[in-house]
Amino acid sequence: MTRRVVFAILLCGGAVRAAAQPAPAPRFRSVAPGPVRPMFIAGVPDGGLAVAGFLLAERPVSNAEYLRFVTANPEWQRSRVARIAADVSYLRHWAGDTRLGPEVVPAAPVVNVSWFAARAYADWVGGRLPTTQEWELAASRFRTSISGDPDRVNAQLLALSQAGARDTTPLAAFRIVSDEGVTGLFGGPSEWVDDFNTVVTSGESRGDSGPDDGLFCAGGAALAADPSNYSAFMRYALRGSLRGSYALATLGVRVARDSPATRSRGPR
Amino acid sequence: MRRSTPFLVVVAAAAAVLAAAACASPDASAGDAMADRPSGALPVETLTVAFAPAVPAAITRKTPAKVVINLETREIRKRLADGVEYTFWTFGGSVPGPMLRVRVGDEVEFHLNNHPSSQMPHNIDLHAVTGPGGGAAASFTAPGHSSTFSFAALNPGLYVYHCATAPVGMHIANGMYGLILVEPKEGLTPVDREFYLVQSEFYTAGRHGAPGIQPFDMEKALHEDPEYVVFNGSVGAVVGDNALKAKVGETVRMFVGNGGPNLISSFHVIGEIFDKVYTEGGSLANQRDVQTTLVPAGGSAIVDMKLEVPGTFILVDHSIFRAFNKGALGMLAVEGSENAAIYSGKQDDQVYLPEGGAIQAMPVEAGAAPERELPRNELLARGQQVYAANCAACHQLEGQGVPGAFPPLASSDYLMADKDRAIGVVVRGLSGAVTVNGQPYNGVMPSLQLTNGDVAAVLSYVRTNFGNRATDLVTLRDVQRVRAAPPAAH
Ligand code: HEC
Ligand SMILES: [Cu+2]
Repeated sequence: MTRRVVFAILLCGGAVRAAAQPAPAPRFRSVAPGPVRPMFIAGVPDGGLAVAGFLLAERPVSNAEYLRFVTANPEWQRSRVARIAADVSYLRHWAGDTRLGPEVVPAAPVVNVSWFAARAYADWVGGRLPTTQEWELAASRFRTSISGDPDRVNAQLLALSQAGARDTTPLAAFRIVSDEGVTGLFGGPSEWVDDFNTVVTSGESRGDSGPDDGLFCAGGAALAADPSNYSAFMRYALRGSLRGSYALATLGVRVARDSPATRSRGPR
Repeated sequence: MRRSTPFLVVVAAAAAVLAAAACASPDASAGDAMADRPSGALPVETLTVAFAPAVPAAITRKTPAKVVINLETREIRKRLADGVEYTFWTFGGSVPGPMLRVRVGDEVEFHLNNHPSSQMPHNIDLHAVTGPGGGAAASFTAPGHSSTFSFAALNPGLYVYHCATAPVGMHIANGMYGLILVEPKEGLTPVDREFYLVQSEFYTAGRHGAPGIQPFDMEKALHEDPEYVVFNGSVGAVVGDNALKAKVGETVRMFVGNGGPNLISSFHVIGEIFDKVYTEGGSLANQRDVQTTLVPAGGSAIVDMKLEVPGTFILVDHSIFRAFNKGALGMLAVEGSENAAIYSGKQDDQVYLPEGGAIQAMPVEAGAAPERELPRNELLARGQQVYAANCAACHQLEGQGVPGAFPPLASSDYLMADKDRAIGVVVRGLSGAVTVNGQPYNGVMPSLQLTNGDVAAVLSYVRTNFGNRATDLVTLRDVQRVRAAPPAAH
């Protein structure tokens, strides 16, 4: 039954008004534990920070899925949402509170959602947003899938991070699959992370390194772990420019969840 | 994170201190700048910007104003060279961004608006700003947002502005720079025409000329090895119909900037001498009679010149391979009547024979094998080498030529119409007016000292490549025959 309705939305989303439905269950992929070299945190050991394994949704949240969310939770509809939780750009590409409109591809990643809204969505489906380090860990798993030459991986990911140079049709990013089966990390909209505001760039990218502590720091090269990883730079700069209420046309949501193994060891 | 408030306070406080100090120390320029500020509110005006090569009108005001500037950052796909597209990150939708013109002592209220379609946050660092980051932190703006900050224009001069968002090199490499002129109180000496020119480099994944949409290549940027070096944002932006135009007798000023991100420019106008240079864009015309002036990356220069004779004057970065192979070439087209006392044009052309009249033969290596007709594939391979070594510098790698300067060999009607004439061009050189694919050219191609075998090879190559579809090759015998025949008059 559920599946039939979703199918109908996919086919003719513009015309369909969704009735309240249960939360969709994200399809998770498991991201193996490993080290991440965060861009701007001082005092990270040479090998990087150890990040625990976790589950990450195979795809970002789609317009169709998000429509179900606002239908079931009217306080997150465009005309009702509190301004402090989402700015005026929130869902502005949709035709109405519960209508996508003919321009919007239902299966494409939803954008124009604030961090508060993204968190509420993740909570609704029984997950959470990934942390910055988790997201970067998942995004580092392109050893085999994208290029025959491991030395060219960074360059290829950078090329995929440049909208002008890639296929920008709504679903193209789903063809870019990480070694662990996660799609759309590159080549589509950027994605919210739970702690976007702990790694702050001031916009002054060259010198003022905010020496006071490891978390507040500039997008500057002075502190960057790997000043040649430009696609990571771009992501950190974007995160640094955001506030929780911002809704951007190039920013979407993906859900994460603790892996069962981690969970059995108690809350993190 | 928003620093604008403390930043403003700092500027205002510093300004107040300096203004107070101004009476005591007359050469405190910042104090000077603020000295004639009226005590009441400044008159407010919204700045009219100008896009290259245009320059905003000189300021006629004699007193400071509050100047409101609105600038939009936008990521757009445009032409970088013929057949080559690039996603530029821009100020105001153009590369370079618009030229801004204010007067020393003005209070500038700056609004940076980042278009909602942007992928990236952007900001602006104006080198004309006195304050941390030049405004960068205060103007850091997410897509679909707008930031405001203010500064006092304390120092006169010609300043670069650019985006300073991480990774800063990439934001500059993608096109985010422009110039802001802070006029001195008394203004600049008036000239007849002013132009706005910015040099910069592009690091594309594909080689120079490789068609299609080209992404930024980080490796090449790190190695400072650009595929394109251009004036005003694209190859050919300032040539042919888009050349800068002026008349004999006029005084011309160029506001020249260098966006970089990496290279220093050796700015030169072929056939002109800069009468005055404001070195590095400072407020003092400190040099006279300069041939080539350095424009640092992230810096500028102002050059003034009086035009004495008509003609096309080529603007180049005199690091000359950048001009002929990477695009750093522009034109100043000057109309008017000739003045033979200053420049005669060619008065005579005679054969020059330094060793007493004996025919100069190419020095052939002793023992070199006599030339023979080559099979097709060897001939074409050799032709390709000869082309790269002897012709590409002018006619370009793909034979596309340089509009207004070097005619194309690609799909050239002139080349294909007459095989013997083409052989003659390479053997004897070519000068005077010719029309190639409907475009007039009037330049000089020197006679190239090639062996008959090289001539046969290179012409066979160009006549079967670059869109030319000759079915026959050029043989050794063809070249020998043309060399032996008397030159045809044209
Ligand atoms: C120093 C620059 C320069 C070099 C090197 C050069 N050319 Fe030219 N070439 C020119 C110029 C300038 C003209 C046009 C002359 C005129 O306007 O009368 C020209 C014209 C021609 C033409 C006739 C016009 C056309 O476009 O079909 C041919 C053919 C040609 N060149 C072939 C060659 C070949 C082959 C080589 C290499 C072996 C070569 N050129 C090297 C500058 C150069
Ligand atoms: Cu930028």
